[in-house]
Amino acid sequence: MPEDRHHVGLVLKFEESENSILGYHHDKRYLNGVFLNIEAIRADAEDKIQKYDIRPPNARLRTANFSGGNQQKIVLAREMERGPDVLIIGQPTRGVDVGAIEFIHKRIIEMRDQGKAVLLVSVELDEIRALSDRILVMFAGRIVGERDPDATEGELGLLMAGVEGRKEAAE
Amino acid sequence: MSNPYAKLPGWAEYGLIPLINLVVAFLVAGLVVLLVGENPLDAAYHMINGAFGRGEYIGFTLYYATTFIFTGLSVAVAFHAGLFNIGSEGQAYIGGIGVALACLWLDQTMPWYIVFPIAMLGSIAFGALWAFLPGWLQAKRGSHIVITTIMFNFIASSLMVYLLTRVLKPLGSMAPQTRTFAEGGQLPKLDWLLSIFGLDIGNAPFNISFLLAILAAFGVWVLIWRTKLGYEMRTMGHSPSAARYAGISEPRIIIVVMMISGGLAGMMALNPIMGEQFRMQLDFVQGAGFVGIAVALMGRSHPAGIIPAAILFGMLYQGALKSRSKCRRSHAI
Amino acid sequence: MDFFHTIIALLESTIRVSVPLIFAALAGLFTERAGVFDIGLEGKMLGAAFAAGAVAAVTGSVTMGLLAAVLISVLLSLVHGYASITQRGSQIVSGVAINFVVAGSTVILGEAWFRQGGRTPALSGDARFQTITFPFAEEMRDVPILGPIYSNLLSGHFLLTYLAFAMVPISWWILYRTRFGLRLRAVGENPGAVDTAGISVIWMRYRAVICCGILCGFAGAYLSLAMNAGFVKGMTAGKGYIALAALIFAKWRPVNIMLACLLFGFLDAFAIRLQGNPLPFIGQVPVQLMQALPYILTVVLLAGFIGKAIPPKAGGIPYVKER
Repeated sequence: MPEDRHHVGLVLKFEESENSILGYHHDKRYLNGVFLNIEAIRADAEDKIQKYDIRPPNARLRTANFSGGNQQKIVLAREMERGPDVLIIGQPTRGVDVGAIEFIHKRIIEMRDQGKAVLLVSVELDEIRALSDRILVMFAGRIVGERDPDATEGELGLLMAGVEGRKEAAE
Repeated sequence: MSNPYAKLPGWAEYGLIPLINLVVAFLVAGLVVLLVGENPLDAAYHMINGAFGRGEYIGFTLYYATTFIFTGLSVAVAFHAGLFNIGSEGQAYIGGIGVALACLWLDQTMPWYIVFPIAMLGSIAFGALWAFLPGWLQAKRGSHIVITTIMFNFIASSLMVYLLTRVLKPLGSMAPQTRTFAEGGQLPKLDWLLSIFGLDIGNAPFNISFLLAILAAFGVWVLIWRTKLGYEMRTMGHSPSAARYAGISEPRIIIVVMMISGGLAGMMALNPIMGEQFRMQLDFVQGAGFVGIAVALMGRSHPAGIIPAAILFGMLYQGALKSRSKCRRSHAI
Repeated sequence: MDFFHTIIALLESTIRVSVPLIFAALAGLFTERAGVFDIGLEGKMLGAAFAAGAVAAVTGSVTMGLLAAVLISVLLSLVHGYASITQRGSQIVSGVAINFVVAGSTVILGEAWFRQGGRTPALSGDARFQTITFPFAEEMRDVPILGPIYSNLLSGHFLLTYLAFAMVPISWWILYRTRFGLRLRAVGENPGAVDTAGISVIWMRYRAVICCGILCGFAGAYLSLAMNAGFVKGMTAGKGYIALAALIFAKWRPVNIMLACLLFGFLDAFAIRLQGNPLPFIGQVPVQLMQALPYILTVVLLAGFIGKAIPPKAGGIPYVKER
């Protein structure tokens, strides 16, 4: 799941349904030979709209007209409904409203509970501590430490600044 | 969250805004007419009368429109993939080779309905070839498509002068053109279509390539909005980074789209060569490739917009030709 | 000796046809270095040529003609600037539109005002640029080698010709040795940084576009007031595009531009001279190949087969201030 939904994850000028197959448009379900199977694509999109409570529930609306949270849900729905074993998520809640944040977090936990591997990348320390089982901190392109989710913010902050990390690396 | 794309209702975006643009354009044109010292209303009357006043005039208007539909579609297809094909002019010119070769080869032995599809394939092949090179250069070598297609327009023009003065010209003739085609190289007129509306086609070269143009417009609509390739094209056109994320091969799309665009431009050559002149002459494209840019922009790159835009430009062409000759006559008197 | 005279004549016509290319390519240099691509060089040149021809014919003054040329060309540049800088429209669409509108309206206006099939009346006397003869050019003519070079090649051109060649170092100096030039180039490479430094990107680009207009005006005036005696419809005949090609071929550098224009001018002059005559060693070369050569060379260069032409980084992209 890319962190930049405006330029990478979505095509804002597309209809919602068109975005819900981005990257998976080779899938036979969405095609009739070389033609797009518009009905299947729309039905699939409606299905995801229901499941992920995307509002307004209109698969033909231009994606730019959805709120940030709902745009993110479109991306989330697309990637999760493929049933991946490994999901790499970048900044899932940046610019997203509170209600949607909760929804997205719940979904990510569900993925974990199903036994899937989730790698979450985020700058929100609260988010990381709330969701993660293990936290890896990177500094200057290298992993400098591993902590439990109950590590304090200060501890993580020092690692992020490279202070603790250097000591650990030296040891 | 600020919303960068305030969406207008569809009728406003596709109907009203082009209409406003059009009105502004006519007002500016009216100013020019005033500058010249004529009455703009008179000029407008002459122009509209010259384009629609008689069955024959309508035939001419639609004849020009046919040409512009092809070039407009050509530019529009490239637009959808975010490519600016200024080379429709040259691609149409080179496409003429395909038409001329088919006609010169078969016109005396085959009826038009055999020659026409072969000529069509020929025009597509040559037009696509001429667009393939800039497409390939953009995809693989990163040369800017706008610049290369401009260059290719000029290279095409030199090449055609060479071919028409040295190779395709019949022996003993001075004029830089091919020989006149026999019956097999001449497309039937659409007189029956006009006569449904009680119009007489007169001498207008309105021919069946118009129907091909309409068919091509439909084909382009299917391609862009109903095929996987079209989906990939539009993704790339709107957001190259999203296309990369979706695993769409940029070089492949660029090359394929340019070839489709070139093929559409090439088909334009059928209209003047087999429909009007029955031979290939120097400069038969006459700027239609550039008009195609205007047609595509005005038609919002949508086939349903391109056809009326092309008819509008056909009207301007025909109307201007007619009213100019009228002016000249009145000055002579 | 006959061969030598041929060479001199060839070089002389090379200079003659290169002048508008140099003006136009330098014009393109200013805008493109500032990040505004300009396909409208052709249209501006044509508009300027028409204005020069028309005004000179009416007023009988070459100066007025030149001023009119510059004025029209600058106005067209500002239209391009307004569309592509202020409105952030497509620079390519705007350029193509200018070419198209100018090509059409010069014919209509020319026909309406002068009724000579799109021409302006033939100019003579003060309404046209006169050639400048260097001192002692006549006396020197008979001196071997140096004589013809001095009196035929260097002397006997128009004021604008010398100006064109003078503009090459001047443009270089402006672009590389003045603060204005530094900022102009910066705007084409990294407008964001220029904006941060408190300089208006928009205004910089407008100034670049105006510079382009002035130079295109000279190019147009040269065509209708110096090289020819009056305006003929479509007289630029693709020179704007050749200038564009030369600009790219020269990799957006002033001195290279002069050399590229001379090369392309030489090909043109050579093609005219060659017409029908076989070349030694190579044999018959079609004139059309010679005419297409500038474009072919540019495409080959663009493809990166001989060096690499890297355009200004921010070229073609309208500047949007970050919110």
